[in-house]
Amino acid sequence: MPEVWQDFTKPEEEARRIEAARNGDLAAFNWLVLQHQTRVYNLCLRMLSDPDEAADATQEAFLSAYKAMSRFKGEGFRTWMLRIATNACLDMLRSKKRKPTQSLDSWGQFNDNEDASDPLPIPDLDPSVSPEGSALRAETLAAIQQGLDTLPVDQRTALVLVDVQGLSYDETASITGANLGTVKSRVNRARARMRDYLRERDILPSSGSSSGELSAHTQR
Amino acid sequence: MNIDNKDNNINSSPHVGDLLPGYLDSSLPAADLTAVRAHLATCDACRADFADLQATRTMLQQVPVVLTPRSFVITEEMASQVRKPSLLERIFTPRFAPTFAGGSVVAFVLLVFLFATSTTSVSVSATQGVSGLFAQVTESSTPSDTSRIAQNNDAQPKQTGPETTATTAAGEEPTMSAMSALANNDTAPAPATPDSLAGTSAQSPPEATPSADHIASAGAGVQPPAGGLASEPGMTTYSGNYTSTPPVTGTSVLELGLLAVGIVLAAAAIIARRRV
Repeated sequence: MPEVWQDFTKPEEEARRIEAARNGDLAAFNWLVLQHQTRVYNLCLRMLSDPDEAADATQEAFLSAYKAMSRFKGEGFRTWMLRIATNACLDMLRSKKRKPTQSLDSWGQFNDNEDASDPLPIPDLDPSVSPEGSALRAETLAAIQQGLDTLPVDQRTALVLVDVQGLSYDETASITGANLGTVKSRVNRARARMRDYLRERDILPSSGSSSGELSAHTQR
Repeated sequence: MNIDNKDNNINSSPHVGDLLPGYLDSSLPAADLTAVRAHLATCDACRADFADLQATRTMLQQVPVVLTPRSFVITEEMASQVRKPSLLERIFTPRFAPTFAGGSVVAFVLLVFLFATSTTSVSVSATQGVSGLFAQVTESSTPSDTSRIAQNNDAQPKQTGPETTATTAAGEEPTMSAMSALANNDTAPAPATPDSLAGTSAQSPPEATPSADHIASAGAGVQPPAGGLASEPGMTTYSGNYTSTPPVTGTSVLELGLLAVGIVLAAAAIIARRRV
């Protein structure tokens, strides 16, 4: 799990801020925003594949959370917040599906047959990412995001939460409202589809094996 | 796991392909874990599939964290624009979804129970009540009723034909049976007068039912035509100015109410479930 997502906050401190926020303390709520905004934004970015839309969804999610703060019942603020963010993303995806835009077409949303030879331009997609500092190359990152975009939304949500965000199956089930078995099934199917997608684009070490010929790469 | 795929010829058959994701998470039953492990030791194709699956998961886990382009804190201005949720918004929350769903189930169960009960009682009353109907209503008949019925028959002769007359039949309400008997009474003696006609036509539907009982008394002794039209329960029968509709009993109102409540609560449960 990436270090920036490690939760350093003491639970007692967060509980105190949550209680204050429930009583209308804006500063306390904003303290919670600062604690969770990176994770929420990254979830939205991987779900929506567009930085601007991810920012809009993130802001919408925090606003929704602020409105609903009095109804928060202490199930775990992160889980609750990610559920709101997931719903914000799903709303946005539904809206985009109803009104496809130019950018949507260009990003190949909801299209399983996009041209693999035209990967997403990472700097535009994600200007703050430094591929040099990542273990993954820019082309690999682009292919991963494209592969995520081809997944059904429920599988994409589960895969992003479990593998990209590093959450447990239990917490993912709580966020998505699905039962544990369904979440595991979605993750498994999503991983298999992602494997096939990356293999077809020669991203994986043993690409080409599906056609009957293994490459000389070895895996770990 | 150290897998060496180098220079192997593979078998294209994905022998344990469906089990590999579970094997990756070690979430398979022990027997399956053992079987997959044994298979991977001998099958190059499945081993390659598994290696790719591992690589895929590793890549996903290595997707870098992106720093937020800006802060998403809620400003005072934004907070001031946040309106207080309305009563409906506070009600339609997932917290109340189980309550709505439970209420809907209870309503439908009550509806089914009530429907079954009322159906049984109607069948029983129909079989028991029809035979004694004429004898019963004869005792309560009055001449004025007979006169009024006859006036009505004379005034609206075209509406009292056999095709609009329902004979007594199983399941028919007693008042409808009485109306049938009246409609076939051709021996009405008194002529119509404007006053009586006006009085008849001014009768409101709720008043028509007791009058129909009296009407039946006028037709006592006149048997319904054999082989007449059998009416279905719920069928509307017209006879002169008297309009007899299936009586809206308290039971049917309750059934409709329960149906409406059940549907509304089910919809409320769905709406509430979808809201954060």
